[in-house]
Amino acid sequence: MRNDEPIEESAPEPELPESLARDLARLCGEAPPVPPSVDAAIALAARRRLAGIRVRRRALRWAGAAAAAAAALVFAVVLSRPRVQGDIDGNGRVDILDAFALAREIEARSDPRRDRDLNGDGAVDRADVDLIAMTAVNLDRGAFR
Amino acid sequence: MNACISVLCAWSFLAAGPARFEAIDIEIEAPDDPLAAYQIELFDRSGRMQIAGVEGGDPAAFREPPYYDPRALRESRIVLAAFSTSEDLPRGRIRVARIHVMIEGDGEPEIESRLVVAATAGGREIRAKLIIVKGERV
Repeated sequence: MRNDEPIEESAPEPELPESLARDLARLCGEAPPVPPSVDAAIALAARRRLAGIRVRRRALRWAGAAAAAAAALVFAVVLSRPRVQGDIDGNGRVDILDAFALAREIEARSDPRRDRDLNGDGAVDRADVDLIAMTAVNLDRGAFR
Repeated sequence: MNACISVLCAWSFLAAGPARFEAIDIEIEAPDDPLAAYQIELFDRSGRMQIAGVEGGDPAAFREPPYYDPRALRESRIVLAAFSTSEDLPRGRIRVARIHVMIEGDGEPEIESRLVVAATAGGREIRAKLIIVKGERV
């Protein structure tokens, strides 16, 4: 019978001769004796490996928690930082580069962001750019005060 | 009352001695990139100098007077800033503005200055040097 030929469902299960089945059972039935020292060594190695996995898992869990906490802290700091009016580039200070950034934004977009309407006149235009620039050159600021 | 004020003004002018007007050129040297924006601060430590006026600079991009706080006029400190969205930007050594000052007495002002920021097109900060050129009497 070739392997690729379909097996007929009605074909009877082949049976081993009784003597062969008995000999096979005797050979496989009894496991060779394992010395207790080998048994203990295997158990110890397994315990160590499992302990290592547990430590790595715990470390990974802590690292994940620490990363999440750091991200939350950064997010909170960024959100809680008082937003300086006119700080378009978000570097924490207002200088001519903020006015320049808004001027470029107005030139580039037909519909600039509404939150750029710094003077509250309903339009984002050159007046807002001028407001930022005048904030930048205000004498109450600067190093030589 | 007005007479008193006039007398006081005349006395303070005479007490301070002669005054002269000078122009100070504000130049920025941007060797590597075209200059699109700058901000500088200038201060006279001697107290002899009063800022009297502000003009723009040489290149078309900075010909308009820069931004400044009007309170700086009659003060000894000023912050100047300007930008240009033009594509024709100057590079090298550029006279970006001129300020006119009144100096009281015969002594020289002690000017301190700093370049706050300089940037090229797109707002990228660039390496630049501020040069103050004093001396042209008006």
